[in-house]
Amino acid sequence: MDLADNLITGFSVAFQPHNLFFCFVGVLIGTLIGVLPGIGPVGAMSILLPITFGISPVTAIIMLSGIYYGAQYGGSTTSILVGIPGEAASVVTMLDGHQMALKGRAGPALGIAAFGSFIAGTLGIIGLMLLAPPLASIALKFGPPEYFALMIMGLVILTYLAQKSMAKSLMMAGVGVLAGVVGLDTMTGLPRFTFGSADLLDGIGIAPLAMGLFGVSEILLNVEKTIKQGVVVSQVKNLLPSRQDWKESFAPIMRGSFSGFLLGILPGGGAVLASFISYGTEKRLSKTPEQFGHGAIAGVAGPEAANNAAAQAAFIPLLTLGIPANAVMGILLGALMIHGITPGPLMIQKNPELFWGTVTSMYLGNAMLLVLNLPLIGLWVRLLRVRYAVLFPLILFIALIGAYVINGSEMDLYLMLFFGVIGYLMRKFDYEPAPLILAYVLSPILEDSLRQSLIISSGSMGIFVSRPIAAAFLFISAVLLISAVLPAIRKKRNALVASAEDNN
Amino acid sequence: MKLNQSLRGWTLGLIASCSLLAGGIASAKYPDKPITMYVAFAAGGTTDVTARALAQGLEKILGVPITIENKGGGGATVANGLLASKKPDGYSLLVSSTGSITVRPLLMKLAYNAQSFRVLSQYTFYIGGLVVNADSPFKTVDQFVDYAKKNPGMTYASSGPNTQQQVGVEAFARCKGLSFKHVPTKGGSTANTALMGKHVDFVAGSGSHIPLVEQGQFRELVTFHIDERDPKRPDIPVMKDIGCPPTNPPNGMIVIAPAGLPDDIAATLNAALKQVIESAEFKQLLEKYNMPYAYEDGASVASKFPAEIEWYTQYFKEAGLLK
Amino acid sequence: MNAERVGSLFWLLFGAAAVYGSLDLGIGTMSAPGSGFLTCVAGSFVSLMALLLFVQSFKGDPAAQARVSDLWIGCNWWRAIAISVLIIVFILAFETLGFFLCSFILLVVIMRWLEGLSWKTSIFVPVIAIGCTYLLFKTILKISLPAGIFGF
Repeated sequence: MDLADNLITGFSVAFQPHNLFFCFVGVLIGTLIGVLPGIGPVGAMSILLPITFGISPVTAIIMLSGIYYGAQYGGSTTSILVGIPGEAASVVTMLDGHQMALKGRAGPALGIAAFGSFIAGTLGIIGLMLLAPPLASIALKFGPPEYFALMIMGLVILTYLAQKSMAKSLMMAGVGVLAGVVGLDTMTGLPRFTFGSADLLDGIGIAPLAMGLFGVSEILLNVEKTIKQGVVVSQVKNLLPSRQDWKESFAPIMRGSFSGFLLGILPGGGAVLASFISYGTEKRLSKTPEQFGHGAIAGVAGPEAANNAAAQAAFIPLLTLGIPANAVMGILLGALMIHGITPGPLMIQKNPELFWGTVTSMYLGNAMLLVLNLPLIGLWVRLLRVRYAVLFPLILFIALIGAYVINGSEMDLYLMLFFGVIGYLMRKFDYEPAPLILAYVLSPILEDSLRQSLIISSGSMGIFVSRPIAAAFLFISAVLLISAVLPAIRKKRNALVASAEDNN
Repeated sequence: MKLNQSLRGWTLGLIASCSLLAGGIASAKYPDKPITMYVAFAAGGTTDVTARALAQGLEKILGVPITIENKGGGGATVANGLLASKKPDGYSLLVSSTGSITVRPLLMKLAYNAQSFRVLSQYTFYIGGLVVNADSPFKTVDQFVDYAKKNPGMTYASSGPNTQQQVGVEAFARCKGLSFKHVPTKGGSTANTALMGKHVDFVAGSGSHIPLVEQGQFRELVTFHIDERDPKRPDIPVMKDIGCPPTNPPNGMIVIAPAGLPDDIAATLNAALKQVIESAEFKQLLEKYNMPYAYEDGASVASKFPAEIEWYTQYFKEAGLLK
Repeated sequence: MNAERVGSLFWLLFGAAAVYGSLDLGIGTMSAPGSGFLTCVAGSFVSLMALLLFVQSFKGDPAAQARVSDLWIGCNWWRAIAISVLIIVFILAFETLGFFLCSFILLVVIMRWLEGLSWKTSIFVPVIAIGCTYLLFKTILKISLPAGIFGF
């Protein structure tokens, strides 16, 4: 069965009218859900799960997958437009994307996000088709020591995100790690820092944290300004990315797709890590790094490509090994099992039309999303021109709904407000929230993998260097760290030398 | 005058008794508004899907809409706490696990305990096992035990500390005089991944391993928590076969209501639940998920709680986990 | 008061509190970390960084550094407080009075009272927004939000 045959099988499945229909329904609902910050694809998929009982498994998977990557597209939209990242993967997009929107460049930002995601999705699907089984076995090689090393690298790359004071950003990363500790300790099963609250047993929650630190705090900051000085969205220039934008974005999209795809395969790793590694990389490689954080389009293109590629790659462990890489894949696994299909190495042989049908429908889904989202850009941009006084209460309303619907818990709303106030104060005092959030995401994996590794090695730290993949990541981290700190040290030394010469 | 008075009296009496009757009929007519069925675990998982099937079946029998609300978190403790605070009027139900009710309160302070609920029905329970990679040198549990005796400190992954399956492994270890190193992970899939990648020696299988055994990636050496061999997999021994006492009482999936639920409402619900659980479709669903059909009446389930609590109290005391 | 100093002092105490909390959890050793190990390390790191920043704030031109009160120049800070209080009231009320009803009141209050928009806008926009969202959630998504005593 060669590739062409498989593709033909796949497309013949994907193009069936009811599969097309459900694919469309999936991506549409996914986009809607994604635009609403907080609720996320897991919520939508679980609600629509009963619908899938009555339809064929292929159709069910097509629809559910559509919701998943549709939600990615939608989440970027809200991040860019109103600065509220609904989930961790959108945080990085927001850093420069929202700045672009504030400068009247929402159109190009949304456009490059849509195109970048489409390109990344397409490349990701190609990767899925060609490389699924070998990549899956590489993913298996990642055990606790490898994850720990990867997390360390992630933390080091976090420092690249710092726009102003490196020390402050590092400190915020430390706070983020602490925030990630709240909840049940995986290793002992006992609660930490939950202050007796049952709602905090699962931790603070990325959505209330991100929505509060970024969204609510921005509302509070803007509301303070007198109406006359309110947020001014300057004249919208173009709706689509310009040639220059494309020049600056093409390489980031390629790099982001590549790294995003690789990182997305790791169960538990995923889109977040991919997105900010891409951001850090682009900032480092850029000829104008000072632009990052103020509306550099490469800072949108790269991460967007990365998180979409990661979303596609997340299917690999599920479809080839039967292992769900994240909660979304868990629902897909459940859906497959209800239909009596057990995903795993045999699935591609036993149910080829399921695998190839799903993969090819992803092409269609990505195309549909592009077609859906591009015309909407004009609509979104017009929405931004609404007076802030009218806009922000609506944004607040959407944030409140989004935060509540995740768990149906009042606590999430309180948390969102609490972090909104914290974020407000932080920005006043010139501390950056982004490192905090990203460190928060890494924290549980960092801690668990450290402790698991040490159990396996019976306490020996050597396990991190004796295993090649882990050692490699640690080495890279060391190199990155030194190369980040070295220029600063050199500057200081030059300054000291210069002042010494002056004194002479 | 007298006639009017008595007429008035009669009318009043008639009205009074009519309203009493009407009120009586109204309260006897349970259910008369939608019921909320909470699910203590995340959407898409086994508990969630089976709960939704239950709800669908119940809807048809009881004639009122039943809405499912997922309230996962803290290993079912969040949902349990929530239900404990609801009114016992039969309009708030919860699909949860026995373990979260009997065992968890022993380990940490929670907003409820085993007496906070009225158990309605159980429909299945979790089964654990000792699972190795298909290409591992251990083909039988005896080979495994021999090796483990000579090489203490083998590592195993579990879906969490003090879960039913992990305790099962420890009970097995105690029986055979072995000692292992436990590597807790966040869930069944993570544990399976660790085994697949050969980062640990074996896994405390928690149910999600069964499809992987069937597909030939894993091998189950011994099954805990059941007393007789599974007829579908007769070559896998149980604790009795290898000369060990039964492991810990298993974790069952149950439908519960707040304590103080009136008997008549409980009876209605139980009858309806029994009908749904014993139906062919529901049994088929359980089969698809490799879960045993294990209907048990609420009273019977609750009567086992004291013994279960006692077992775990002993176990935790010995492990030094009790505060 | 110097803003930098106040800020870094806050985080210094925060880190110290984290370290204190970690002691209860048990720090363990490098080769057998306990439940509080990472908390201790991270908390110490935060305090260390905060100390660094605190010390740094004494260098440099004092005139160029902001004071705490400077951060709020030209800001109607009471409006931020007002919004926060309104949100708190909303959270307290919505389970009893219904999510959509409370949202409606919240939006109207913000638009009319806080922002001084016309009655027409303050009522019209929320009605449309909340109406559409209500339909979306009720019909397509089938997610239920607390209905409260008024039934919606």
